[in-house]
Amino acid sequence: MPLSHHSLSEREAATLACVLARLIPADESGPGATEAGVINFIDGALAGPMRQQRAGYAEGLTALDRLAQALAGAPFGELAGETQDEVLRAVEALPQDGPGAALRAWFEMVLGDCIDGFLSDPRYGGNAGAAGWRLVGYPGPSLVWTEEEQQLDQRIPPRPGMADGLARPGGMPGSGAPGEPEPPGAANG
Amino acid sequence: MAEPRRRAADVVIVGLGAAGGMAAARLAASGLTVVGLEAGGRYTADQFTVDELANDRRQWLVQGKTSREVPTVRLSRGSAAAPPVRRQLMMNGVGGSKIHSGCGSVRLMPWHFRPRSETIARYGRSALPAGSTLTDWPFGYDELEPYYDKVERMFGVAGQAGNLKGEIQPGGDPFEGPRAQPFPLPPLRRTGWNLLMERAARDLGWHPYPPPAAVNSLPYDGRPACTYCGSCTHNGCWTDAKGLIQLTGLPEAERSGNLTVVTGARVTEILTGRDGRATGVAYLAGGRRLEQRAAVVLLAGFVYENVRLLLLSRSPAHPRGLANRNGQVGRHFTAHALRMTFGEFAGREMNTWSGATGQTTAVSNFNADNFDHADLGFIGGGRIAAVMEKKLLTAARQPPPGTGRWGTAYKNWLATGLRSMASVAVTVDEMPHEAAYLDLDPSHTDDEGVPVIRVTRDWIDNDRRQAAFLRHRAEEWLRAAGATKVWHSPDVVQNVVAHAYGGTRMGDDPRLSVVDQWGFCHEVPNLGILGPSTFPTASGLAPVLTIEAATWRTADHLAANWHTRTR
Repeated sequence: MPLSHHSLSEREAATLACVLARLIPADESGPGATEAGVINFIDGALAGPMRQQRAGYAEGLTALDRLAQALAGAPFGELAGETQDEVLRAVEALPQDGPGAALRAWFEMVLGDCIDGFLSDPRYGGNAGAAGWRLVGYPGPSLVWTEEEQQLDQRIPPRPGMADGLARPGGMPGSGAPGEPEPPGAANG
Repeated sequence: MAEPRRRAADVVIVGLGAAGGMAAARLAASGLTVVGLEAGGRYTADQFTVDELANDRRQWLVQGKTSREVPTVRLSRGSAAAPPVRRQLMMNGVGGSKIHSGCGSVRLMPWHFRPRSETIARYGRSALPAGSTLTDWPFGYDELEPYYDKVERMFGVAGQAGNLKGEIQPGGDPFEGPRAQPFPLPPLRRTGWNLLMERAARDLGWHPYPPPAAVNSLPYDGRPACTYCGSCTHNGCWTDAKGLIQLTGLPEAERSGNLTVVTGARVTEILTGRDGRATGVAYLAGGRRLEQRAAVVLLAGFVYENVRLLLLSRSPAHPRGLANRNGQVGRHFTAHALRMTFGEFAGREMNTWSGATGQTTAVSNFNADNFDHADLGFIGGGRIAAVMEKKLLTAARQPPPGTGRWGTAYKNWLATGLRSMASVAVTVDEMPHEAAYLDLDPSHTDDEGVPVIRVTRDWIDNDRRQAAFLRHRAEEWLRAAGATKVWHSPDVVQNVVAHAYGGTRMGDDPRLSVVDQWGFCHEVPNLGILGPSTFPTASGLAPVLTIEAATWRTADHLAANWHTRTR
């Protein structure tokens, strides 16, 4: 997949794409992280508000490949899906202190970014076609919600144009464009 | 070389949030000349929209001072302090962190002003938790009631009275203190989720009510009504439906010519004279060190910053920091952790994506001493509240335990479970105690090389038992409403939060408190401190209305006693 911001090298992007596809897989319920373009979201963010994570992303991918090699005899991207899951479960189970702590923290970061890329506004590069919103039954953001839309058991139809991003023109500061304020560190809970 | 200084004012106020903004508005209205120094800038409605990534995840409102001076935390004396793993959004700016709050505007209950006396009277002295520094407030509910009323009318608080002049009103909170008048606006729109939880609470024999919020249910004072966009928190209001001091109060004060607002002003020190009285403040603005002299200094940063400025303002007359002769500055710190209990209602669309935060069904049955504590092993209580505004990116990180956090099972939950999830917020009255305090961190500094605040605090057993009890009630409530699965957010001590209290406790005894009942320092009579750093206790409710009401009371006191306070 061609990436617009080129924060990640082709090889890094290929490995990361394999991780994302395991975190939110495509299945009968609908498109997954791959189809929703989550990697576009991350690649774009690494050129903007997440640029401080750029090096961490690369280091984590290298460490992941090293672990995959040790556990399964091949780089992560060359493993079968189920074996990839086993490697990711091994990463998740790494102790919080010690040599594996950085890889474990990296996994948590990627999981969070994957969720953000799958479910945030499509104008940030992920959630293509509002695939994430359609999956969870979220009708898309709106500044005005009617009384009916706040009732139980109402299926609210997807809002027209939601795949194009926010209805409100002009956007807002901090949306990730170059030159805008830095986001706070990952410490914000 | 002489440092540049502005013309002396009657009053200089440090920080123009809910407290400082209210003081500026009231003092300017009384004819005093006021300079308000605010570290942040001004924000307007056109900057705000529904964008969870920018607002909640990336928190674009956190910039400048507050992001560079994050307190460090540790659980006990002797362990190493480190930056917090979790902290809540707090911002600088005219209007302060109320800008990005749900503007819940609740009065404390009469019990909350007398927790120590009431506990001893009903359960005996042995019921006080070991190590607790629980105390009564130096004034009671009745004294604050007229000011609660003034603030409710100023901002157009929407709500349903539960106790009108002693008479219990249907549909309101029967446990609230008596109010002189009904709310100026009716409650916000009731949602399906609100009504479901209202019925479930009644089935349990509880007393549900729509809690008040400074959010317009109808147009008020030239501002439009709420449109229920679902993005009250971590975000300002796109349509100015929130009642905020920069929309009501400060504009009039600035127009009068009595108030000068200086933004981008980062106060570094409170200045004192040889007699020990405050003479003004020093601040950084545009890369320069400036001074503002005044007859009265009002410190209205948040809890952490108020304490920090006092401890940093050392002088020969105040070698341990300002107003700290008795070592009370930084003591009695406490805070509210954010606790959520979630329910899954299998197969149902809960439609809680939207909302004002204030669209809520709450119960006070387990707040204060509204229930018998005799066999419970704790005192105090808090509010539990069924809330709207399920934020997608946040909720997607909170699948029920056992679901899996990624992969096919997780995705299946995204497809079927997330829409059926709804939330109850639990507030715990976390008690002040001896081992909890704020001081200057010996090894962490801000970008100017100045020490940040270090928080030392863990929960006492009383708080843990109270929290467990309240979570059980939340679970019981969700089950009664038909939840098929119930789970809780992680229960961890949170010490860098937007509901923090103490550090400059108010009280009558200078050995046990920093400020008197009006907020003026026992040791520095022309230095006042505003906001929740003066609150003796946390209570089981949100602070902002009490901050505003107590500040108005202080402003009236200062204007009426100007000559004795400044002599």
